Amino acid sequence: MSLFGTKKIATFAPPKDARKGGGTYLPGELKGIIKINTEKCVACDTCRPHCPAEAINGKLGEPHVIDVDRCIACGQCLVNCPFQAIEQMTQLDEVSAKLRDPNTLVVFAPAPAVRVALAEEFGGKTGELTVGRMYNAFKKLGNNVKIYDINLAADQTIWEEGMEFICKVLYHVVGLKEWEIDEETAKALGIEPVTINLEWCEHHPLPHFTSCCPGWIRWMELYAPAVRPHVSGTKSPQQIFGPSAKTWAALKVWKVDPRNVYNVTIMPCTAKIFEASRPEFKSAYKYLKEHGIIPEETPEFPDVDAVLTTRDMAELLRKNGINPLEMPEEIENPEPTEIYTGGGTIFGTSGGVTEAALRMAYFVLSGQEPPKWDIYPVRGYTTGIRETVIPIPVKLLGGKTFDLHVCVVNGTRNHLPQIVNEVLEAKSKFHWIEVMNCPGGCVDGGGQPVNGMGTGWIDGLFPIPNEVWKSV
Amino acid sequence: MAKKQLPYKYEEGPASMVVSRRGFMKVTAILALFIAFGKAVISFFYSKRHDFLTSRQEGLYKDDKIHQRKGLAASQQNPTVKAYYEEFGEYPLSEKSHHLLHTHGYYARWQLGKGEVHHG
Repeated sequence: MSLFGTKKIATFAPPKDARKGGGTYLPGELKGIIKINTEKCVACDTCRPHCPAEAINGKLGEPHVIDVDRCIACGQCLVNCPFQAIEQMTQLDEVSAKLRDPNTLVVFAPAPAVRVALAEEFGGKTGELTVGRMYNAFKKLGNNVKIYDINLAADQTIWEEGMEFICKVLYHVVGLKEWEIDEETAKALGIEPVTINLEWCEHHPLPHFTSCCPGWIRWMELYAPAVRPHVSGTKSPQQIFGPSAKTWAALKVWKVDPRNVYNVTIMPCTAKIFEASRPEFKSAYKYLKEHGIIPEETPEFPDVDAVLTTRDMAELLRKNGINPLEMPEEIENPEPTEIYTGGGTIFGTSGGVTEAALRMAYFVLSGQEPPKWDIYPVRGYTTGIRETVIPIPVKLLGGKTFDLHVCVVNGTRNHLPQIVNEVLEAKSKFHWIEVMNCPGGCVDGGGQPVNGMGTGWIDGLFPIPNEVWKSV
Repeated sequence: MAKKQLPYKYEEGPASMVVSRRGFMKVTAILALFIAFGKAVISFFYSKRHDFLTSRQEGLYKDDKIHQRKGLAASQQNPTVKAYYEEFGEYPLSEKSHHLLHTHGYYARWQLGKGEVHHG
């Protein structure tokens, strides 16, 4: 309930040396996305226990400081600061400039969690779903605007990660060395009945960790890099959107020069700003150059050019005098890049990736649709860890049921370390582990509208770590 | 007639100079009301503290239901994804997917600059 509306969060432009690298940052990566304004900080110490990376320094009474080398840029400190003293780096100015360039095709890619929070910035109800109104508001920003919904990229992610996971199961549990996709499944998916070699799974043991949460990924790189072989190699929806838009969509759907495509994702997340800046994410550029589609001398460009948080996008709309709540809900000419499924949209909530993956994996493994599309046991809601078993009949085992052990980690703090330690000690009983850094999922991300009347944490009354609670 | 002797000796204590029994009862009753009301207000807001979060989650599940009714419940039903593979991607985990949609870049970040090579 936003009795008093959302809170204003201050932003700052990227400083000149933001991409210098050094410490735990590669050159090119944005450093210091979240910053505590020491003049506004009253040293109440609320932020420090929220941080999943123990990256905030400062005793009670002293203005606090973020240690950027430890920070994962998740923004949980920012959304929970009672005085809005924590600020976010924004790429808003760069995006505004590109909108004014008629030669640039600005592609807006809204994440699932944005469509249930954007309205809050304009006085709408909490959780109000505004898809059509959101699209129409974005399109009003310019004639050079296209929409490629991240929910579509999420569906693509399920195809890639679902199949990746099935490969690991077939190799490690069923013992196959290659997977011949049968005619029926291939036809249903609209692909050729290919045979996939599974030898690569030897270096990728179970359990499988999801990889779409950039806060989790950076946390893993900093605090548990030994689990890397378990982590999915499939990119996140944001990073699947990027290359897809600059290759397939540019060439086949919009039929434009990929060099003129400017990708802007709209995210509930501040860690996505970091993710887009990772130097390895220039796959479209490499592909287009290798295939002679763009000239050799083309300067490098990233797969995702800029990331705007939900708050940033609200600000952009406000600056242009656009209120999504006043736009029509009707989508006049729906384009193929705006089509998504229920599985794609639930990515924004804890347990969503898992449920979406199961909806497809169940079908591919058993040849039938699951008894119900809704798989309630994996939904995180406000519970820290969900552990459940999903029985799946497997065609390749003659219809025998395989018990899939699934874990959903709903928020890093208090929940993730024990699950990761089990994997490190080879004691984990799970096949699939979903990790979302933000409690509740991306809907409670660091880039979302800040609701003054809510608490962004899901355990206990105060943001005190479990170890302290238990000792009291 | 002699005054009847009571079997006990009773005198009000010095506190009765400050507040009477009735006064004390009235004050504590009102204090208790305030505390109970305050506790109720805190409990009310405490119980609603996740509402913003759960209503956003419910919004997404509502979007899910809308799409389920349109025959778009699961990712394998998305015609655009099928078109992506048909027109460009070929099939999941293809060579193209490997280069564009998969990553091997996970770094042990505290070892950066100390010869750390990304996980192959």
